[in-house]
Amino acid sequence: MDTLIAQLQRQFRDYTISLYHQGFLDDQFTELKKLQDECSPDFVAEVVTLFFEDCEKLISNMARALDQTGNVDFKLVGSSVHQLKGSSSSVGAKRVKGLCVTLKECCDSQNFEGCVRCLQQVDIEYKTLKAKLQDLFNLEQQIVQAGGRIPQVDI
Amino acid sequence: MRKKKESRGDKMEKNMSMIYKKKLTVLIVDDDQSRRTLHLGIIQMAGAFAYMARNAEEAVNLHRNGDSFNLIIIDNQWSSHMKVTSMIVGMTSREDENRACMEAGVDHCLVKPLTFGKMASIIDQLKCSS
Repeated sequence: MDTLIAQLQRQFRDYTISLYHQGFLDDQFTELKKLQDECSPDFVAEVVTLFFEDCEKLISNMARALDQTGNVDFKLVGSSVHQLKGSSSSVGAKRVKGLCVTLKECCDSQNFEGCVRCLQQVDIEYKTLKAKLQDLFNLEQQIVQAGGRIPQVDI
Repeated sequence: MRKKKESRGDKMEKNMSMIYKKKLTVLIVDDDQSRRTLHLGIIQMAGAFAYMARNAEEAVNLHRNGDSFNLIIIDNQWSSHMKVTSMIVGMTSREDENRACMEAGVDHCLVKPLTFGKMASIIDQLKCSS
């Protein structure tokens, strides 16, 4: 007989695995989870919230810089993407980090179209990751509320 | 006044609007991890959202869990029992594999490697057919 808790735990496990398989998360996220315990039960949620705030701010800076037609400050874009690459790397946001690498290359070669295309993609990817992590956290909450323990997922 | 030739910037903007309005999603089916990652990057640069699966079975599971795709790019695993409503593009290693690939029922064949240019032409075709 499949209890509610067992069902939720299985959903949680499957969803977590798919996030890694789809390249949304990497080992760094696994490391973050290890730092979470009873003393800091919301550690991961807090860290990723800061990351998403960072995304919004940096993407907005870069969009504004790219909007200055004929007078784009590629150095400014470059330093913003460098920051974003660092923070995405530290939370394990693999797809975002990958796009930052490409964006940095476009910046260095002053490829305006490439920068615009890439930046739009960074925007989609971080918002998608945000929604997916929200789903994951909601699943965790449901498990806890049902009286179960959040399973350890080995990727 | 001369008619202006459509620039890459204009083309890019049109593709972008298709993505935002219709959320163009592409599924990559390939058992090789580094190829999947490479194709992911290309698809992202072409402005679409990419999902990945190692094989047809995983692809079906993704679909059963609620994801749907406008386009499937499948490598080396195309076979005649595929039944999908999305456009399928088969990847082949050489031109002379293309006929076998088309006979398996794909909509288009591309010789590897996948490039941004090849993706752009496929996205154009998707736009026309929808």
